[in-house]
Amino acid sequence: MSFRSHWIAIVLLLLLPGAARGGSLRVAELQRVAAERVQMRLQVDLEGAPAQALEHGITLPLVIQRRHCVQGSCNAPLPGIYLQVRYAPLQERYLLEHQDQPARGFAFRPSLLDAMENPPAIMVPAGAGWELRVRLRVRHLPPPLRLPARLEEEWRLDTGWVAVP
Amino acid sequence: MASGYRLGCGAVSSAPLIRRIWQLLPWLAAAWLGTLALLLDGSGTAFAPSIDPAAPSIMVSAGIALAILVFASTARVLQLRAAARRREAGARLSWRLIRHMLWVALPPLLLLYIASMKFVHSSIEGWFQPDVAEALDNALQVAQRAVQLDQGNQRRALEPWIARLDLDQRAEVAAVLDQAIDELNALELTVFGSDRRIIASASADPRYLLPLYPELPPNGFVGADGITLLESPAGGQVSLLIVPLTAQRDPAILQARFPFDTRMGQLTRRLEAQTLAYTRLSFLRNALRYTLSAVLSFVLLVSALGTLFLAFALARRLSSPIRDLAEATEAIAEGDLAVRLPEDGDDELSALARSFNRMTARLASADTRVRSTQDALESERAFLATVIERISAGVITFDHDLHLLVCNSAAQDLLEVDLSAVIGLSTGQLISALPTLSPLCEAIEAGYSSAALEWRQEVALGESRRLLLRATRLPEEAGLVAVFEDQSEANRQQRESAWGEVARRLAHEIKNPLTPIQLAAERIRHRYLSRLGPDDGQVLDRATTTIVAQVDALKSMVNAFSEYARAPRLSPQQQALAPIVLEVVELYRGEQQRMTIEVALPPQLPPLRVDSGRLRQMLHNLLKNASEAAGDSDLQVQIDADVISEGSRAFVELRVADNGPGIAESVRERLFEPYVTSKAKGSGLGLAIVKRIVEEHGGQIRAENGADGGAVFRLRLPL
Repeated sequence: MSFRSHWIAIVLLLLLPGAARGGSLRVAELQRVAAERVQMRLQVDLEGAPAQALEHGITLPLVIQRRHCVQGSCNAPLPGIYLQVRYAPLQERYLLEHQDQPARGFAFRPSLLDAMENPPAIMVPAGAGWELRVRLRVRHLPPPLRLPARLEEEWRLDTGWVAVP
Repeated sequence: MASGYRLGCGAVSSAPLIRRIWQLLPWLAAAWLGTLALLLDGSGTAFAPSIDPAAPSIMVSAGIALAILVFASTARVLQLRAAARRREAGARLSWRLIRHMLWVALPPLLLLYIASMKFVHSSIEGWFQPDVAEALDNALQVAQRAVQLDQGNQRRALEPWIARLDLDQRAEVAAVLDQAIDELNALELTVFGSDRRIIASASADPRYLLPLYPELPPNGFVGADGITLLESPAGGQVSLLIVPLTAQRDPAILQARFPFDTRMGQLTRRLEAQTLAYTRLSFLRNALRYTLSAVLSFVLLVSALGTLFLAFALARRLSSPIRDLAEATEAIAEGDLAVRLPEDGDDELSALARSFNRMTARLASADTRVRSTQDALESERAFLATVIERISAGVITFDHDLHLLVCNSAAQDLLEVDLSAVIGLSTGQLISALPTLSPLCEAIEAGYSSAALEWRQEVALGESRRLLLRATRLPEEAGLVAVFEDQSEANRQQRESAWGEVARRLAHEIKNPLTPIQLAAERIRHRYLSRLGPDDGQVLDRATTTIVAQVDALKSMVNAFSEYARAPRLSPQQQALAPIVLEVVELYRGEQQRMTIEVALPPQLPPLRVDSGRLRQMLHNLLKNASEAAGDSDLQVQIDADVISEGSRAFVELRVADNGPGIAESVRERLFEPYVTSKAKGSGLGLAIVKRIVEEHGGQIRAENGADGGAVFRLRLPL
């Protein structure tokens, strides 16, 4: 990228933060399968910059957060459940590492997405008012990527808080 | 000192605390932004302590600080422009200094920014060599090829065993797998059916005791050669082979895992890590450029704003002494000589401030002396004016061209003209404007034209008034002072004095023998009337009766003289005039049916300090005088009063007007002297006593004929 085009890119990125479309993350389905277990089904779309970053060896760190809200007032989230996705070029496989579980390798991206969209059931305390959220941990991206990830829409891998039924 | 323009103080004309915060906040914001500009690092490779620009707290705080700085700078710029337009002291100089400082500071800053951007971009590009990327890619492919060769060998080794498999004989399949795993030194051999269920499995590694169905392509197609993968579980790398069992009746697959060569595994892992690191770095260069450009732009913005802010501070510091000097000069021009400038420092501006303060101190001292002299002169002038105003003689002054400068009230009274309207006129102009003053003006002109320093002259104003003029030439040809007195009044006073002496002697010499004469006449009458015959007795009776009556008449006359001559013994009290007047008038209403008295005294008439008894006598004499002058004619008397001011003096003027014959011209000038009367009846002392009573109260009396006839007496009693 030339110096001039870089300037144009900066201006466009500052002026049109929502124009570029890349990855997306949203909760497709959420249900309690037991008193303290919630099964979540995600819709993961890894396109654009996040997909390129993954292909180029950048680890995408994700976290599943849980919090309890009462009448609009929400407590601090419980400790998060961490997972990360990375690519191993020698094996030509995607690796999905879930907290406290061995890494799972996927030779094909659809398989990876399928695994990401169907994470293991999550422990959520019984009772109403619980919310879940899955998001990219920007702070754990490589430093040069953090600023674009904060400012650019295509890096907005965040489901937002979703109420647990 | 006028409130001048203040850089950085703002127009927030509110509480001091808010003003302090408003002053301090931009500096805190600038300090924080400066710290960020020094410590921000977006590369993640800094060795020094650094701040992540993407941290939300940093982004928010930097945004707030930037907003504060932009707002403060804009406010200061607008404030300064407005002050410059209002031409406030120091504003234009500050504006010029700021512009110059920005002209000096901003171009190098921009140059440095552009150079830094180019340097960053070229440096980042320089990190990446296409040859290195290609070499690493080739190395990775070599490693992959080595893995494939190894897996190819393993695939070929499996062939004989695959040929021995017959899925219809499942017990044998397990035996074949158990045998093969030992022979092939495999970690796991598992046969899955088309339903993904395990048909048979053999494992030499506990991790694979419960084998999972392998991951296949999304379409489930394995291909004739199968799939080879390299896994990296804990404890070393593992080759995974998925081989289709095409010779079987039902499609099935064989999953085989072989340990990968340890040394080969280490090398390929290291190679993969290095390739990955390079690939990652290559991918991150755009993001790195983006982040570094943003950081550099941020630093440029902070530097520009900081430069602007420092320019304001520096301009304030430089222009402050000059602004103070301008304001102080303006204050001095407006008369404030107490203004002083701060003398801090030892530079030229401080020396200027010291010189200015010395000059101002001397000016203040001189001004104080001048003011003191002026005050003294003013005090003396006021004292002199008061003295001149209070003296009974008329005083007028002329300048060297004989223009009228000053006159007192007595002069106006004596000359019976309003001199305040002709102040500034020359004697010639005075003669034209007031012809009655021509004898006086001519006498003054004649005396001034002579060489005499002082002269006195008697001047006749009309037929009956004579003034005694005394004039003195002022030093240095500054003009003259003329003092004059009414010579007629002086003569009248002499006559009054003589009459007073006569009255005292009459009272003393005549009053005493009158009683013995009266007693003697009554005794003669009493003793001899009865002894004489009728004719003689009648003569005696008539004679003694005449003697007694004449003695009574003499007594009345002597008493009147005594009253006229007696020394004043007033008992004045502050009291209203109306009750006294009404009390006297009431007496006349009862007795004199032919006399009609109308009283019209205003209710707001202020009280007077008078002797009520003497005032009653004065009114009684005036009414009696009017009654005697009217004779048997019907008499109408009108009494009214008003407040009159003359210069600094105020009077109550009581007017007593009648419709009688008026004042004869022959007695007009000497009306208030004893025994001057035109009436057939009366002692001739009534009006003289009235005048004396008025003068005892410090007042004045004037008599004149009314416009419709009759006499009008105007009595002025001081307030």
